[in-house]
Amino acid sequence: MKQLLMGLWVTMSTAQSQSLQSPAQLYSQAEKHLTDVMINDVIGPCAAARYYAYANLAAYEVMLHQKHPAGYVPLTGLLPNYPIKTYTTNDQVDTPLATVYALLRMGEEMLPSGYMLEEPRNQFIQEASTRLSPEVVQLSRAYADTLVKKLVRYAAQDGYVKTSGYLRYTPDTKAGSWQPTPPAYGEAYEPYWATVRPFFLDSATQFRPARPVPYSEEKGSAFYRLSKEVYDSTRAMSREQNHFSNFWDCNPFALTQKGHISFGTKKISPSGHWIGITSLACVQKNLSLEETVRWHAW
Amino acid sequence: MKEWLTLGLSLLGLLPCASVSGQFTLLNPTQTGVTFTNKLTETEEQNVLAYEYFYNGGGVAVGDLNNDGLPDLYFTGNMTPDRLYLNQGQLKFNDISSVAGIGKGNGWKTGVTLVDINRDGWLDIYVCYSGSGDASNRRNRLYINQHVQKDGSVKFREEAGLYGLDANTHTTQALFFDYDKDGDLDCFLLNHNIKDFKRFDAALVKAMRDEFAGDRLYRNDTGADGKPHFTDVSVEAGIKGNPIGFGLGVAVADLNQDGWPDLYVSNDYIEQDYLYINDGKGHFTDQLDQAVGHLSYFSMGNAIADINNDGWPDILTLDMLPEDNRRQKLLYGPENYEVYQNMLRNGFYHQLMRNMLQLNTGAGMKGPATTPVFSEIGQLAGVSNTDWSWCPLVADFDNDGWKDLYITNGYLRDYTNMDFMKFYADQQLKAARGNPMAMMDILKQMPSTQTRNYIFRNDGQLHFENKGMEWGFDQTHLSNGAIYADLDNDGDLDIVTNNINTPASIYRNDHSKTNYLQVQLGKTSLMLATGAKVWVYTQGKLQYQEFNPTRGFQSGMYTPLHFGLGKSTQVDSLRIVWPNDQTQILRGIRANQKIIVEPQGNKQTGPLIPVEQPFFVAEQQDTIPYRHTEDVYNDFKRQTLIPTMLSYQGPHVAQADVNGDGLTDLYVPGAKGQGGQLLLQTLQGSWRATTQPAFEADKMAEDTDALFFDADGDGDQDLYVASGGFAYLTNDLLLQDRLYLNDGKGNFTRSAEALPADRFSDACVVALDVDKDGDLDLFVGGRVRPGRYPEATSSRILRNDGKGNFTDATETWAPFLKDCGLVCDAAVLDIDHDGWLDLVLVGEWMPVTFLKNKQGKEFTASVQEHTKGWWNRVEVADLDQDGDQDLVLGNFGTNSQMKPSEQEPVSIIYSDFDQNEALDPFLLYYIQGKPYPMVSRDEALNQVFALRRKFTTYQAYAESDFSQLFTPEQMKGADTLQATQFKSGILEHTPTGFVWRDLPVEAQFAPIYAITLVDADGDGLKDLILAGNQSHTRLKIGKMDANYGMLFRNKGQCHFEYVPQSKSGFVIKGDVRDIIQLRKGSETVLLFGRNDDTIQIYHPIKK
Repeated sequence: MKQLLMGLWVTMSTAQSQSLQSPAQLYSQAEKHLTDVMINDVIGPCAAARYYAYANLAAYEVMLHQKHPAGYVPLTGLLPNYPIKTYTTNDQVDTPLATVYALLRMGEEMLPSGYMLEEPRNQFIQEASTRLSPEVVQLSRAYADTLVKKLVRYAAQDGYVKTSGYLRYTPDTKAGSWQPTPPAYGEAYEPYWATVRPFFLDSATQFRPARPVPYSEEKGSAFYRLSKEVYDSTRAMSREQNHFSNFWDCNPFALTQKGHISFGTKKISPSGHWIGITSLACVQKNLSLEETVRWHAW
Repeated sequence: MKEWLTLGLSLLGLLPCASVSGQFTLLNPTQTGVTFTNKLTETEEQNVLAYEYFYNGGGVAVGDLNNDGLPDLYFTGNMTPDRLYLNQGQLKFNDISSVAGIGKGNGWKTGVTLVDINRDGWLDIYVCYSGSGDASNRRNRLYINQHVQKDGSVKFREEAGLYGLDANTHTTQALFFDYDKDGDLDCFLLNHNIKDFKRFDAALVKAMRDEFAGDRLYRNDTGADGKPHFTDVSVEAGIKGNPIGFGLGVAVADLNQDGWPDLYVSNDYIEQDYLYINDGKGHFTDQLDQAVGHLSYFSMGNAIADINNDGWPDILTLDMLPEDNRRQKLLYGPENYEVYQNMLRNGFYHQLMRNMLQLNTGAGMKGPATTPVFSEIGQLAGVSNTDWSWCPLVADFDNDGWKDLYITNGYLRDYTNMDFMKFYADQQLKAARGNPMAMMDILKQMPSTQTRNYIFRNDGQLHFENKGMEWGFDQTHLSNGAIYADLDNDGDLDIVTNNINTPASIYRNDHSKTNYLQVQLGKTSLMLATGAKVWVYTQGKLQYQEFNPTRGFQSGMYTPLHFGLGKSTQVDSLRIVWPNDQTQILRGIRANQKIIVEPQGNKQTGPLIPVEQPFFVAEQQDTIPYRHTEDVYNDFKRQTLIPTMLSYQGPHVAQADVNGDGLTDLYVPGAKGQGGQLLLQTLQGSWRATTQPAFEADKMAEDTDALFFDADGDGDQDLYVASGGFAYLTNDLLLQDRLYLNDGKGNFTRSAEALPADRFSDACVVALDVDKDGDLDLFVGGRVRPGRYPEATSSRILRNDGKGNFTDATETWAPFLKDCGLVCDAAVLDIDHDGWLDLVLVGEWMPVTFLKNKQGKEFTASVQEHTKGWWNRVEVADLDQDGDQDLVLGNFGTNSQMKPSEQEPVSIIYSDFDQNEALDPFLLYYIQGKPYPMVSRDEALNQVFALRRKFTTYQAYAESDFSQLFTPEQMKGADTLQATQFKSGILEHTPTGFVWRDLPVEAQFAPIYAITLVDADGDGLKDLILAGNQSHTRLKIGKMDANYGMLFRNKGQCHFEYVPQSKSGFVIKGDVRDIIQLRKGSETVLLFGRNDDTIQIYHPIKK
């Protein structure tokens, strides 16, 4: 079976495009599609992490059902109220097709501009159809769709959709409290993230981070020292440091204003970067699809 | 045959060659000879990124430059040569630009004005320069008129340097006026910056003076050589010149009619406008925040003129708000309350993006340098939305005696388009990878929005009708500077505009002949008439104008003053006050001519407008030791889509003699976190605060209404306090109303068991003996369910057992009160004269509702047709003295973007559309005949995430109406409320029922929250006082503050007449929520209770 798969992979790769695409490359390309949509929608880091998590979870589950590869951990029992109870294999299904398809489909269902993934999804199916029988394609799609449906519903119950109905954060006027800053004076970002259902933790309270450094305007205090450090660093930033900062910047939408003209520079936020880094690593190491999916999901 | 042909051809020649429709005809440039085009050529070096104001356009000036009696034209071209045209008569012009000696030097030209600087009787031309680039290229030019040459042309010689007026600032316009009244013309230079500031320390920057961006005032002193010399006196004169001043419009007028010219400066961007009041001693003080309640944000051109013929100059500022829904939705991002609060904190005051019409109330004028007070009524007047606007021309275009309004608009590249901002720019930038040319390509992608200019006809009722199509203005141009003048001397005003990339427009006024009078102040420009004031009286009607040539936007008009006279064939009297205070009066002037007046008469000082004794005068100090203090709460953080905040109700003050000493005492309520107080009146007429632990214990409740009544029948006045507000849980314990029993000496204790459990946020309480059993029962109105607006809540009727114990009798007496709506106020009256007391209820989204008392057994409800509104207050009185009770009703008013009617209601559709356990209310109102949601795309998508799929672009949202927002299933599960009437008014009680009676338009200036009736003029009829305002609304609705306390005289038969503020004496600022009449000694004073503020007291003046 494995040889058949590898054979299929080779065929797929050669049939696909000008360059030879490894499984890692294929999967990374699919991830990139998701990332592109998130850039388009100006998704911030927390929300992006959530989308990536559920999308990759779907691909992970397909792989788990079909191949039970080494290193994969069944999630039933680990995740509360998890809709996937049993693991069965369907031999008719083409696993690579179903895996990548599930990833794209999840993104399409969940992302605000998910409709943008319709074209890449169709393209992907088209290419697969050149080397697989229509029945296999049909079956694989249906298989992935069923799984995706379950997981979309599961995701919808994590409380994220409720956060838009909560009391919006009103900045405090006390010294030391967070204030919006120019030019956009943006709202507090996802202040109710703590209410969203985590995956493995019971709640966000399970691991309490250290308290923030207490606000102080006194010269010798820790807060002052840290602020001064930021102040001094930004005054003498090298070009490379600038690039690093921009790369890791949380803000998915940097507003540049010039008089009445305002334009936004959009880029992916840190969660997207980590996916990107993972993709790069997988491609460089030429990992199998199973491994690639595993690393992206975890 | 030949003769026929010739005749036919010559007849054709007489036909106008451009579009003919309505009152104005756009003339053909080849016919007039005026082919000037302000052509903009965008290049790598010269574009909107290199220079901020690249698209602002040019200016135009009109005046008689060759003293032949015909007004000539001067156009400035930003990057093309200026042009000078001499009027040949019959609307033909001769281009003498090449021989006139103008157009010296390169540079970016902006505004132009005319002035006789050397007082030789010949008009000189001042041209302003701006632009980026070398400072030497933007020295302003002053072309001195060298008089008519032998060939008939006029020559000019550039001498700005000689006069000291060759400033190299970024100048928008120059304004010449005599600010120190020493007989010569001084110069105000309106400048702007070319760098924008987005992150700065406001206090620091505002205190700076920028050499090239700051406005300047030059004082003219005649030197020993007899020539004028200009000195920069900006600092000592108090003229601000900070780097964030982007001055785009300047106007001069005597705003407070104290004999000294004042200035209004419109600033683009964040810096607020300046309203400089001249103190007569060489100094100006910016009084903007005392004079107006809010102003235009991106203020561009402006105009000062008396638009309602009351003799007081009004101010119009132009901004960028489009008329249609599509362009509005493409323009608006999300409302950002924090940005707005930040703006206030940093001293930028309240700025909103729309045209503002500041109507001068004439109030509070107490002598020289007093601050005038304005009511902003742009929306009520219908002139608030004219898209990206530049130049207002306020003049009587149809000669009916009322000044009309023409507005130029247009912007070459619409980069305010939100789609462009968010989605495209970044893609292009990334692809281009920093190639500068790519930015140009990006810019060229932005749509060029050519919109029609606007013309409005003043109907004399504080309202302007859009006459664009009817009067022949259906062309789309990008127009900037503009002037009006009688170019063909036929008695009506023609219009000329300077356009970008198309020839200048000359509109000939074809108005059918009506009567007019033109007043030329002086034979030639030598007369120095700048600042002269003219009052024209015809058949008891007044018109007022001041001669100030620089007006509008980058333009100037040195022409006779034009007065339309309507049907009158003569002017009864005409008064002129010259700049040196010489006053002359002319009488019996025949209409339809131009009179030339030379100064005569004696100098008169003293008030220009007779000062009448007002009806009321304000108490000098706040003698009531109390300040209603609100908690800080932002309702929009809880429900982001609601129209107005509901946590800023109150105070409603209650009065009674609580300690039996014959003096009326007060209960002044507390907002959340503030305890209510009992104030005892002393014999000296002052107030003594008492300690009431019971009130203090309940301070976390928000007092929305209070009522003194004898609850327990023991002869003293007990107190019922309604608890309400929005800063609570939906079923909060703190919403419990309270009853406090009086021990007879003014000490109150809470009667814990007296009231049934109540978790309703209430707004009002009234007492009435429902069952005629000798004790007072209560009606309590439920206002809102906190966090669940606009879900209906319940009102209640509480039955008194005679001893001050109340039970909820709603089920028995009025079961329909359960979930009846959002009740704001109630009043008691006997509607059917059957001896059983009835009730009238008013509320939000509710019709006026009557509860008829059926013999004390139950109430039946009925509504007044066509009265669904946003009612706040109701008052009962016999207004027409016919023996029955009429109703005065306070509503939202018509000074907003929403003008509901039966056919075009304002509605709100609400449901939990996205199933996240929060209500999603969507307010809709009609724009140009179709209903649209009020909220912007970002606001809607932030509330209901699922909408993000449907409206991925701003364009998609802008082009949809509400029907596309939700599925039919979602709509089926949703509820709808409607309002068809926002006018405050009167319901006259007649034998056949209640009949609606309109109040004067002034009653609609702002939402009315307080009503009282008092005989102000001593004629035996009750006059009406209305107050209100609302400053806690959505930013899009904006601060509503146009009501300073209004008096309306009762003329009988339910007709009321507005009394001007100067006559009523009222200048009450803030959100008034209550007016009570209090007996103090021998007089009755008026107490105006204001939200989050002190109580203002007014005394009647004894005649």
